[in-house]
Amino acid sequence: MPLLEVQHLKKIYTARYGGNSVQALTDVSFQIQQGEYTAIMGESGSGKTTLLNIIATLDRPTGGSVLLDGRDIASIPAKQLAEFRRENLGFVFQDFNLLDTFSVRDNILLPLVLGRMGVAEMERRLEDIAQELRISNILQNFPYEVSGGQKQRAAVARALITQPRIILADEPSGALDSKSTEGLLQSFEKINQQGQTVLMVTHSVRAASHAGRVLFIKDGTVFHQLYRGELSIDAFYQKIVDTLTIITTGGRGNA
Amino acid sequence: MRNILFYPKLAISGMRRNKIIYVPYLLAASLMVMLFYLLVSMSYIVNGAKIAGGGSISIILSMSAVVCSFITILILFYLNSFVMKQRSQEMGLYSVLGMSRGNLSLLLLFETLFSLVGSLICGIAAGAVFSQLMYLLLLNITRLPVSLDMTLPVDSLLTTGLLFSVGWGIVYLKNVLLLFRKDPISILLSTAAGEREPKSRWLTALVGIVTLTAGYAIAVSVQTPSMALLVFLPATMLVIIATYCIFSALSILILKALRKNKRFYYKPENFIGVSSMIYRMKQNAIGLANICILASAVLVTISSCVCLYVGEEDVIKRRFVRNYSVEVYYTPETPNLPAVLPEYIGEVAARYDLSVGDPLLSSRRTSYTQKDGSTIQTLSSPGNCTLLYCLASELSAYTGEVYTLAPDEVITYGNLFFDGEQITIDGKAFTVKKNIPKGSEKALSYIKDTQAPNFPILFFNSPETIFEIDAENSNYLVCTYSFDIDQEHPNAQQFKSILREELLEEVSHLMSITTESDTRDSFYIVYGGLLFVGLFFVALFLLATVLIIYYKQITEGYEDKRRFRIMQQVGMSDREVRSTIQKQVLMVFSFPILIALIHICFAFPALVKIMSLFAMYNIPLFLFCIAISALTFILFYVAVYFITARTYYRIVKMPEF
Repeated sequence: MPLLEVQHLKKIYTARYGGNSVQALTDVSFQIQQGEYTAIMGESGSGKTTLLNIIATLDRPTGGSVLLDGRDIASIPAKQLAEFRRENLGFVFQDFNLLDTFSVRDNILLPLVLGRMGVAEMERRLEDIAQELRISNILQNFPYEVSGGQKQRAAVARALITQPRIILADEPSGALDSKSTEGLLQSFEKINQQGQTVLMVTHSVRAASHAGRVLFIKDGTVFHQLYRGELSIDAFYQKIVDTLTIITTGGRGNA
Repeated sequence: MRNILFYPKLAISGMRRNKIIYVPYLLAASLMVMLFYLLVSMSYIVNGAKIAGGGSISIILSMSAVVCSFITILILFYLNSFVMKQRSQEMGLYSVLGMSRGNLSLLLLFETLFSLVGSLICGIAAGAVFSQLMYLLLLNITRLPVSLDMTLPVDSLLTTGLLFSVGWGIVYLKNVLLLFRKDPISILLSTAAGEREPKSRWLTALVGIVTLTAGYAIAVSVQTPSMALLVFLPATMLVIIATYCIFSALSILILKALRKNKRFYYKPENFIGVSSMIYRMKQNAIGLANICILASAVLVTISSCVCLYVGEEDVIKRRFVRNYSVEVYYTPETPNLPAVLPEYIGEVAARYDLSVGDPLLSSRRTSYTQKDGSTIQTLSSPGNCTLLYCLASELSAYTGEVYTLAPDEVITYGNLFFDGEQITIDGKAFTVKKNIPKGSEKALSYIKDTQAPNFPILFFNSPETIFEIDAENSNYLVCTYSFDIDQEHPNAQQFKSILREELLEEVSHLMSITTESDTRDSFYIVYGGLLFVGLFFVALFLLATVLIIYYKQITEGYEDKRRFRIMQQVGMSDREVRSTIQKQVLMVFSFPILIALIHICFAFPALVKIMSLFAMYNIPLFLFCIAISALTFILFYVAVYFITARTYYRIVKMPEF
């Protein structure tokens, strides 16, 4: 059974007082297996973020369904949505979304505190993750005191600490310089190698080339997909670039 | 093509877009216009009506109007700083789009003009509607004879217009100055930067604790009313300083200590609350301290005004055991005045078919002295001991016990002397034949009946003996003749006026004629006037309090918006967000009022002493007034809390796009 199954997802935004409606997703279907590292690519307006928001239960689809571990997320009552998000999903955002009133440490602990975990267990988990993501030395600092790369790694730590079923990353390297981006992508690879499922939305080829599989979305549908297989990162990078060129110049994919 | 309506239109659309800020702003400004207009027009109307006793009310009203105008301008400034803070983003955007500072000043000018004109029109219209009602209320609580005439005093219109034009003019100048000093574009860009965590300021916290302790200690340890009056202002100042320190430093120290306690801190209920309260306190310390001080001021003002007004009858009952009291003074040249006065008054009363009931004659002189053991030296200004000289014969007549004294013997009252003590006054020797200790029942009732001040008393054998003491400076005695006249009698009113006329003509050395009814009238005028004005100030203070709370919440709502969005993404439910908000808003709300109530508790002993200066000794009544005022204030507060929390929640939940 796939970990995540997206079936014929459709989303239409309608202006509140009649008017025009915009079709963000037409018909999106794909599956993600446990332990996969998947990137979704597409241009601005292609529907990537809408897709991610629906999977994240932050938005509701107009049609189709999303199954996590075979369970339709639409069937989760509204009251339990927050708990569901906390326990099953980890989020990493482009603008980090760290709270400036919390130290890095408290930012990472936030989901666990909301889940009423004991202090000892929280600290044990924090220690492991902080070491792995090389942020042990900045735990006491506040977000405004650390670099962008450190902020994003703190955000990854916050996503990981609940031991979620899947990490959802929305353009995670969008606000980082190339060096920090490289560090972050290595972190993602590392956690993926330890068995963590990752779904990343991006339009950076560099970011996508680290993934095991890349889905291309265009005009609200999955247009094409690539597997990395045994390719090196650089070779995969080249392959993605070629595919993007074909998509943008209007040629048909060879799926 | 230049459109001359461009700026006015832009100003109006800007205000409309920001109605969440501007509606309360303009409402508050209109209310302030109304309050000020009412005060000024009341003073004009009362002055114009030429009512007896209206003069003092007119003075109270116009003095209050001056104070009111200062407070009003302060509030305007305060409001404006909130409004401009919210609009700085927009100003920055206009600036990026190519508007010069001159253009922006022009835009602000139109906004200011619209605000001014709008609030003046609304405020004065409301003021005109309410002024007759207020006039009635004023006449009612001061019990002045009603003479209602519909007038719209042009003078007060002009005064109000002038004050608010000047006020808003200053506010506008300040805004323009700010516009030229700070680059609007930099304001636009600066908001993204994270705010630093507040430092622990141990020194400020220490100053707060010390000043608070000192202020409270002074207030609690006050012994006498005059002392209370003297130290009340310094004590208040200390407590005000302490309030600012506590809110700005101590609160943060306490919150940080809470954060250190892991078991307490890492609970969902406390986690977000404590950490964001640290920031809230940093930004709001001054505002909250202001609310606290305003709340204290409101409570003290209204409860003492109400207490004095409600307790008037009480005071009058205490003051007038008998409803008439005539005071004369007599000297060695007119020694038989105390004998003549009752006879004369009795004659006048008989003429009007009235009888003098329960008469009481008492003579006394107050003497400032320096007391050193048994040696007493009279002074011309207060020394270490103030004494009363009275007549033993009058005490005998009152108590029925016969005291016979030789010229060198005295009976004393109070704890300064003892039986058989040999004392000298200005070198002249006296023997204390008997000392009546303080608190003796008969002596107390004598003092109460004769309205003597609460000083130690020396009773002498005759007026002559008293005249001889310090004879060069004060060879006189004050004689008070008090009696009852049946007030229900048809001739009572006539008797009152005739007695005054005849006594003025016939009796030399007349000092005063006080009647219960005259005193009651003047009490109602003064305390009623004070109450009326007090109500105005309370309205103004409340307005300020509500506005501070409202704008604080709005400002924070915008700041918390991003924070709560993140929390929802991390896994906080809508309900948790709502309860967190409510908890924080409630904490912010209850903090100032709680501290204000503690302030009042500590100020209470001193306040009681000060009230006694106004002859108000009814402590339960005062306590009741404070309790009722506090309760009303808290109810009002809770209402504002619910409204504010709703607005805050609406802002936090507002969609991003």
